Amino acid sequence: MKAFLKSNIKGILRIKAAVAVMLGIMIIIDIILVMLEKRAYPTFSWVVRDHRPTLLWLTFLFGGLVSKVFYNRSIAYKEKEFTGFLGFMSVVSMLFVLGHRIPSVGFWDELVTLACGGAVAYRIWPQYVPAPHRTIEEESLEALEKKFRGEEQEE
Amino acid sequence: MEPYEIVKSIMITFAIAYLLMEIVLNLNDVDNDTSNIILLQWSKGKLFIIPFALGAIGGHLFLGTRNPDFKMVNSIYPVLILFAIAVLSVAFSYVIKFEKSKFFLTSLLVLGILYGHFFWSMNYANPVHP
Repeated sequence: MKAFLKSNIKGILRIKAAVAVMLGIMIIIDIILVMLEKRAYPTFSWVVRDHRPTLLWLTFLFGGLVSKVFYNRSIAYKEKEFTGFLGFMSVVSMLFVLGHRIPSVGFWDELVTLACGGAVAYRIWPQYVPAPHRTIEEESLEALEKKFRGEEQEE
Repeated sequence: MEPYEIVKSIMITFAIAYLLMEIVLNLNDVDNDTSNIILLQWSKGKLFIIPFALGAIGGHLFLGTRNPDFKMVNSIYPVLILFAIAVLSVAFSYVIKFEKSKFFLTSLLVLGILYGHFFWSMNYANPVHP
């Protein structure tokens, strides 16, 4: 058990380092791009500014990811988590297609897309968090779900 | 390859790398290791500036006022102010320890969005974006 915990902690520390390194590299690249401004290199911000309609999907994704950080809805059963992620990504894909067909977007379009990204991520993309002491209801719900899926597969 | 295309390729590479990492983290056997949980843990610790910074980046990238009254003398000032606020907040968290409630983090997020929208806008001189 101790070895398992130790290996998990090491894994989480590695992931923390990966997230920090990724953020750090993005900031450093953006600083370099600011320095290369005279050689016609745009910063990340300018790329977003110049492609607002086609990057409407990014607005939605950003709203969703921020919502996932601060307003994450927890569930104690694992199966549904990934289907929610796929649902969220299908809305992102739809906005990618729509964004290429509209000429421009305004302030309210962006604000509503941001808010909707947050609301949709909260509703359909919950986070599996293992409950330390599962209630009988939660355990029976998961057992029922597994049984139902088994029956579906048999059919 | 054009400079614009190079920067776009870098952005797409980062987006794909991030999504792949999230998918792997969601499907692996280690619980509570996705980047959103890690960012929330950091926000509830010494890096409580994270919601403000994320809000500022969101306001800067996706919103942004056209009103030039909010424009600072130099466009690098909003970035420097954000950096200074980040350094001060970390220093503050070492001096005073307090609980970061959801209301506190939400307030910082909203303040960040307002900061990005008004003081770090890319649309002061853009007549297309309202």
